[in-house]
Amino acid sequence: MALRRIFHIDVNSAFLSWSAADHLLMGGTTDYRTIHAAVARPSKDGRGIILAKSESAKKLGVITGEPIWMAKEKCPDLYLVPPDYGLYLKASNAMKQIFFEYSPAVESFSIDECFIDMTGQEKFFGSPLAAAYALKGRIKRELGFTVNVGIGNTKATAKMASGFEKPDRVHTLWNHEIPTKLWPLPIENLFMAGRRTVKKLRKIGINTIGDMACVHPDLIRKLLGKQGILLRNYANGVDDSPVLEGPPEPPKSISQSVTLPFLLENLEDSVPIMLCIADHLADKLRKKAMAASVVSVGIKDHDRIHRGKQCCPPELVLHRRDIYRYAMDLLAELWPEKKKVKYVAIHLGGLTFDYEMENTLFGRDILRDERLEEAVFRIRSRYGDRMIMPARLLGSNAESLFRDFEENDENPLPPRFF
Amino acid sequence: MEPIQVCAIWDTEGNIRPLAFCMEEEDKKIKISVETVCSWSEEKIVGHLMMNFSCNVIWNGQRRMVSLRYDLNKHRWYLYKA
Repeated sequence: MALRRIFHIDVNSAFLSWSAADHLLMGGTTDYRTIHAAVARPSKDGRGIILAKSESAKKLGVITGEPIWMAKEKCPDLYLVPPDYGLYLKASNAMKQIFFEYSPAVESFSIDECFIDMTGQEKFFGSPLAAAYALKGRIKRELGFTVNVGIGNTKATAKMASGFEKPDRVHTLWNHEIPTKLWPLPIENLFMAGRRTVKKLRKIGINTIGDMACVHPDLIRKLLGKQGILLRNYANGVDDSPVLEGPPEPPKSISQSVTLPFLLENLEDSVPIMLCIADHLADKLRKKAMAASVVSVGIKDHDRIHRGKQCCPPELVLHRRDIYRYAMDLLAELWPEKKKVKYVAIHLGGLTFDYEMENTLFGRDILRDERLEEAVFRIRSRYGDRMIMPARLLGSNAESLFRDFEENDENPLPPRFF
Repeated sequence: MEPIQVCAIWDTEGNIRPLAFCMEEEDKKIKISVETVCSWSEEKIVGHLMMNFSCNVIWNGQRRMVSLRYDLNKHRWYLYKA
């Protein structure tokens, strides 16, 4: 089989780059990419996390995902840029439009990363290196931000190549280059090797990607199962997964979680929080025109011990009162004795487009509920989420949570899973 | 950049030509006529569709070159450079 030519494109500090370019476009004089800056939106009490940082902030140790206060300790003059998810979606789509001019096989890996299958495109765009430099230059010229392009014979090697040195670079990792370019790298750099997996691997002396490539398959299967074999294959440049064309698959599940700034003492305290989450998920389901067949709840107590439980309701769930009702029943079973809860999550699985409304169910007028849900949805679509909310939330400690969910609603990032 | 009021004309081909814009100077609104449009271009920085117009205007009795921008998504005009 002929070797493939796969590109992986990764926007450099995507959120910050996009915000910076937009700021300059709108007449701003400071390029956020050249100062100590980070994308973050602190809440009223100063909580929040870093979503993206500039190179100079990165050099001072600021990392994505850490709390703002921690970042500020490392970099006191850190300038915080508020996120603009509408802009990020626009920038991402504009970038993908350019990719489609190079190949029909374009797969979004995330909002700021794409795979492109460039196999057979040499006659149109020249060698893979030439095409990659042309693509990178075009994005910089037309869209105003820089990307890294990784080139390989597989998606895994292309992805790892794009991470070699940043920013604004093109790197190759062809199969014959794997022993020299990939194997000396620390195991953390292996595609799909998460923190916990790396910890397990280092415990048995696998410290580099080369170690992983040479490890006996039976040993790695025993330690990590099928995932281990997959990682070993990636270390050897073996990955026959195709670049998927077409729109992404509809979600199989959605969820919403929250880590609270206070502790929930008992089930009664959790009512407004669960109502808020159920309300938010009901809107999400309605936007996607889907219903759920599985409801799960997860909690963490103040000792950070996680518990979860799920149920399969007798009917498909899409109304907020049903999500809330099943979630509260699960929470009642989960509530730890003599402990307080710091984190709650509701997860809706088994999503389907295929549902029909019964007129009544167990004596309940379902169609009346559906009309109510639809009315709430239309009011929010037209006037904003804050126009109508469950009365129980007013004045409660969940009211600000309601607003946080609304602000993040344009967030194209995948939902947080527990 | 704050949006400004602009009077423009669209021809039958869909081309836009700004004719005049309003500016606030010393708490007074003044109207500045566009003498000529020297050049125009389209930009798509971070997917933000903008049209740039380099124009000659008479401003306070002097001929000046200004840059007007039209945001195709938000349908707003901005004075980018004066």
